[in-house]
Amino acid sequence: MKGQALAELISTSGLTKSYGDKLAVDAVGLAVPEGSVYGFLGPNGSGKTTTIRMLLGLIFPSAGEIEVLGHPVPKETTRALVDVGAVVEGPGLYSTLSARRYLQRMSRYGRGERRRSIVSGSQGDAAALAPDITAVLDMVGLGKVGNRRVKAYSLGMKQRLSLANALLYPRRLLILDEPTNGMDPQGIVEMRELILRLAAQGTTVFVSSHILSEIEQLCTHVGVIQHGRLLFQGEMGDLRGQLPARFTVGTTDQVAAGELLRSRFGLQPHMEESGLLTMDRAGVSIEEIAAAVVGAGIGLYRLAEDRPTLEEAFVALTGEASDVS
Amino acid sequence: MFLEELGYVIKRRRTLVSFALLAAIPIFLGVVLDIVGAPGGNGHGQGPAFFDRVTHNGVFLGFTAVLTAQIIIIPLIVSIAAGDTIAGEATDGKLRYLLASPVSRTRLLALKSLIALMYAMAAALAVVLVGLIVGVVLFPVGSVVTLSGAQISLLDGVGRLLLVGILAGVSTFSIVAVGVFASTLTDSTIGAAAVTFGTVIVLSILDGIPQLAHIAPLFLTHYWQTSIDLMRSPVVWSGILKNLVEQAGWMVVFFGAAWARFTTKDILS
Repeated sequence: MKGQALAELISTSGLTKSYGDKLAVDAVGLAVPEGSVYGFLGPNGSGKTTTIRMLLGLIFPSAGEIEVLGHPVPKETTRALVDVGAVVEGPGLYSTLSARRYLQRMSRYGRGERRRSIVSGSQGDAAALAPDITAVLDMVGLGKVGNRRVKAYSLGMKQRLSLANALLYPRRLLILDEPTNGMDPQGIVEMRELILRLAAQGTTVFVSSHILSEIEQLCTHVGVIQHGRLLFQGEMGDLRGQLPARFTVGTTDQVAAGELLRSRFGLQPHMEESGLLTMDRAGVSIEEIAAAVVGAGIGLYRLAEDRPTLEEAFVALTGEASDVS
Repeated sequence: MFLEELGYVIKRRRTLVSFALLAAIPIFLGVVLDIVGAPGGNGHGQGPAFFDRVTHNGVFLGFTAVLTAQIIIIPLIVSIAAGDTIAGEATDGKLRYLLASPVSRTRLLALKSLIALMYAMAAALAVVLVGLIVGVVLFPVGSVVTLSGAQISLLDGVGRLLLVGILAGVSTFSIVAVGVFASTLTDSTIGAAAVTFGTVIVLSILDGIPQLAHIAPLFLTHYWQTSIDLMRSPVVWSGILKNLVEQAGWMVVFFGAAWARFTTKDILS
């Protein structure tokens, strides 16, 4: 997908939501390209959920424009959402209904608008008015417990059911707010695989999280929000690229090696507790370092160039650890 | 969507309990009258309307039951159903998923309101029908004597009974409107229902205060008892028509307010 000019399935400009004097979301301009898996990152309370609720027409913006699948929100919310599946801030289920019955209810609710949009010919697929609930339950791993009342479900199972609701119909866009919240590690792995599978089939996924390790393995694009402001938006590689790569050097004479790298290349080696030297890459190649150390007669037993993790890039950007809950 | 919502409401345990309670009123009245017999003495003016006539003609049990239930129990049950419409979905965050399903807010509100109105009508008719059945089973049945002393056929009497039931249902439409509006203001079904039922009770108390006679015709409870005019010969329609206008007025104001509120509100639940 890289390098292609793609249509944006979500675009906002100047999106703002204020509660009294407090700005919950401050002039956010999202651009989610078709075909991307877009990770929406931010510490808790950064404005992620408020933004997502505005995308879904649940909260009215104080200022700014929103387009979802080319339709203005909140003016044409229902039209925009026909081909959108959403998980918003945890499940919202009927405790007395079974999973199967719940999905039946939700599919019947969505059907009217879906039929209208098919008739008007703008979106949708006439064959998909009655979804295959059994298949959807299997897809999220609830096939065996679909007839059980939701009351008896664990939070992870409820979360899966909420995802099943988002997948009831074939969707062009999935908006998932913290979809792995409350899931066990196995569930998180399955969720990741499911998202990747859907993305491979062409579904665009907009997923928010504060657990960066998940996003890192999933996403092609990233947006970072903090205190209601979008600090970064772009391809995943570009976010990491904001931080320099680092060298780790281990030699038989660390003091001499450190002195050499400082004087020869202008690097700023730092002695770690482990006894290894670390330093920003600063435009020097790994081959040059190897040649210089060995050429000076110092024994080299370790040399590595590390790309910064998303976590490091995130902390550098926001000044906060990501996993604040 | 309509059938889905109708089925959902019908199958709820709350609905079952509510209608069992409604059915219990004519059953209880009928059984008491059957065992203990009609009130002693001249009987007139004692107990609920038509209470003294039931043992002579079972058809009157329907009248007695609905005119009794109309005062407290039907308004209570309707308040709960109307207060639940939006607030019940907002509880546990279900509302956001319904709206994202997607369905427009206007459509959802209209659907929920319509179902609540049907529920209110069904509540009143349930009391009438159960009363009629119990009355026919327990007591003799025959041609009906109206309040004016004229005799009308049994069929005519039953027809008027059904009309009284329908009017009792329509009389609660204002409660539905108030309840739906209250339901858009909160995420708590109980809160919305309590405010609605409280409104009905306060208005019916105020309705009895002579100093407020000038504004009393505006109270939604004011013309409730006019359905009894159907039992006059000829029928006196003026009070009944005023009730219909009253109910329509409350519906316009409060459904309008509910719509204005619900279509502009941030869904945070």
